[in-house]
Amino acid sequence: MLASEVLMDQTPVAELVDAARRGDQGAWDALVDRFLPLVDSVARRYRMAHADVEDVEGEVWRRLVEHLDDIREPRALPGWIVTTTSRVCLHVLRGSGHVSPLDPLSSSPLDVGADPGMVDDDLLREERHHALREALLELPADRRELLVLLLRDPPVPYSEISQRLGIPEGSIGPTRRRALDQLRRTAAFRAFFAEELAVEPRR
Amino acid sequence: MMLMSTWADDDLMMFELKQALRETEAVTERSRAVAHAAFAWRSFDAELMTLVYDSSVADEVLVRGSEVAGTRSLSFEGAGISLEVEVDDGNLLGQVVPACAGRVTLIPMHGRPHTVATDAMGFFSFTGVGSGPVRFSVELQGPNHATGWLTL
Repeated sequence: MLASEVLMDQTPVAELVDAARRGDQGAWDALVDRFLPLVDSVARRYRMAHADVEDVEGEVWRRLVEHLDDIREPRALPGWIVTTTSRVCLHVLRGSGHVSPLDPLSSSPLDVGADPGMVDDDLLREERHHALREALLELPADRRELLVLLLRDPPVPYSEISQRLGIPEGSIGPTRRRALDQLRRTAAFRAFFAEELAVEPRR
Repeated sequence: MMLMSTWADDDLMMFELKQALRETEAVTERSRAVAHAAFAWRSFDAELMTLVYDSSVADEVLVRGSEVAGTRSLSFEGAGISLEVEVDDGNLLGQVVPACAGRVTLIPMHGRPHTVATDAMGFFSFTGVGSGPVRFSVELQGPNHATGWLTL
């Protein structure tokens, strides 16, 4: 799934939830597109076989469908999704009884497994990444576009960025700075960051 | 744990953003299809129709000479309504009784639902029907009806 696909729909989550409740498949599709990277990245943290990840995701979305009518506060949805995905993962891992294959990219074989304590920080990181994607959605299109181009891997040359966005190369740096400042002021960023600060003293 | 100073640093912020966007690229189209299809699980307000005949099950115990090879026949019954379906090589023909104009929706578990209108005799058809778990919902006048999941 391309970053540009995820960053296309700026409809507030609350509106998507409302429309999906009324049976609007398009709203549901847009809603899950927003949360797919979150569910996917959380599920991958548990280092399960590929088929198990798919089972987990299917189950999470079914639970979300059933949960739709109970959502009072859409801002709590990312947390709900992380917790639910996590629970389903643990359930699948306990139930399957087989040793999950090692992710060759994982840093250490010791972090394989289903100990929830081990993945707490990872889960918070996934939620933070979701908040950052939501924050990007709040930016004006031209600034978001600039950041997405600058974040490409492999990097896009400044000359190409300049051409695509119709801005002089010299203004790319200053615009990036302004875009990031603006990102820090978005509701999504501030809401998540305030929450993260609030939990920090307990650690 | 990220500290306030991390968020103030543009380069670290860009690093975090890059990771956040990389996660979107890891999402497969298959994951996406499963997520979109899950909407069919929404418990819509419908009365359940029961499967009363399935040729693929009946064929195991009965040898039916009249049955066309490869054709699967299914019958469902609900409150004051019945649904007959025949599937052959991706083509699905069906009839709703009592005959009247309405809508039938084929809901695959892993794909998009498709809705067709029934004609005045209650006939309807779908083409390009794949295998896998599906359910049907029938909208006529009055309450909606739906079948449970079965595998085509």
